[in-house]
Amino acid sequence: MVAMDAVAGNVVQHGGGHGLLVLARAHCHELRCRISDRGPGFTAEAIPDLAVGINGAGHGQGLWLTRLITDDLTVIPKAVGTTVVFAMRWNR
Amino acid sequence: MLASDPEHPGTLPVQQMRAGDHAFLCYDDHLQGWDVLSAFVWTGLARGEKVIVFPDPRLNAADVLRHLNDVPGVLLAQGYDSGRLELNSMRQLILPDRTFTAAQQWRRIVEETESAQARGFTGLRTYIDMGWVADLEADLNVMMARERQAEHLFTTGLYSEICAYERDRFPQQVLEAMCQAHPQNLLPALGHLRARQTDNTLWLVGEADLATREQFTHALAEAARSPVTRRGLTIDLCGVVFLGVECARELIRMMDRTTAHRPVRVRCTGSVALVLRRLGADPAVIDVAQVKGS
Repeated sequence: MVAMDAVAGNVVQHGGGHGLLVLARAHCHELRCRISDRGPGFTAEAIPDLAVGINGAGHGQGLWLTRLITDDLTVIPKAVGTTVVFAMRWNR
Repeated sequence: MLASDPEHPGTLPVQQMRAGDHAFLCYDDHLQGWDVLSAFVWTGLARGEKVIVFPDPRLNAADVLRHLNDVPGVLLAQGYDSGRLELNSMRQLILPDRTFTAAQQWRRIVEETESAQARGFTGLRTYIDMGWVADLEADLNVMMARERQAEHLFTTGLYSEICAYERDRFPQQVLEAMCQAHPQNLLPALGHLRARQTDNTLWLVGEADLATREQFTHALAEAARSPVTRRGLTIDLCGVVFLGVECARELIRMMDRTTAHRPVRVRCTGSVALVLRRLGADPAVIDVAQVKGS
């Protein structure tokens, strides 16, 4: 939920204001979330490598946290906009 | 206009209701309150409870089911088909009596609770739209006395109840009295955030996300400006069912700014603490509390 909120919030604030969120159970123990927008676009390089200080750059912090708490985070730049995909896996 | 008493110490989001709670809900018109009802039903079914809804008597069953079926997933539809979710009316419940008395209603609720338990349910929860008062032409004073003296229904921890009052159908003083008569006071809809502050503690209840960030930030700023006391400031997030990244960042920034001249501690659930710690909050100032119903 926190990860979905972070990425969807990013879409609302920086990605053109609206997008499409698809949440699906991919395997028995995996939930996969795909969020697409038609905003100005960004790449995975926008995500800081290390924990940004809380008073540091604001942009990218939600995605940084998403990468930290999810199992996969992929940023797919499109001709128009961006798609972010991440997964949550739980113990078998 | 006052939705319900903002100072009520038992204010909580419906997601945190638990077995044994007796909650007041005030809604503004027939379009509001459905999300609270749906969440209440959904949570009850997920916890293995029997759920009985006493909707506004002016609505027919098809309308009620249509609203409930707006909830994503199949839990509610399956619950209704299997009898775990039931629609009823106060008129029907108190039969063979035709006039409402608290004694008859209590007796029937106890019977329903015992029946649910005997059938393997973990408990019974009911949503009672108080529109039944007009439908049965019941005396308001009789209804109010029932509400004030119903605590014995809840002592076993097997029964929980929402009493939902449509604002326009009851005098304001009745609503205020009934809000006080209930140990729990529900936020009027999902997605709300409410702040309450005393000298040393800021209580935040509900959902802290992008939609409520401004309100969240304002409450933090007010708390930071409040007179400094020796005990410092506690920010109690135990009533927050969701803390988004943006609000978490606002909180950590505020703590960083304020701690220099005033100690700040945060009391919250484990999941909220996890988000705060991951975003860089000092673990030493976070107290994790067990929250009933979460």
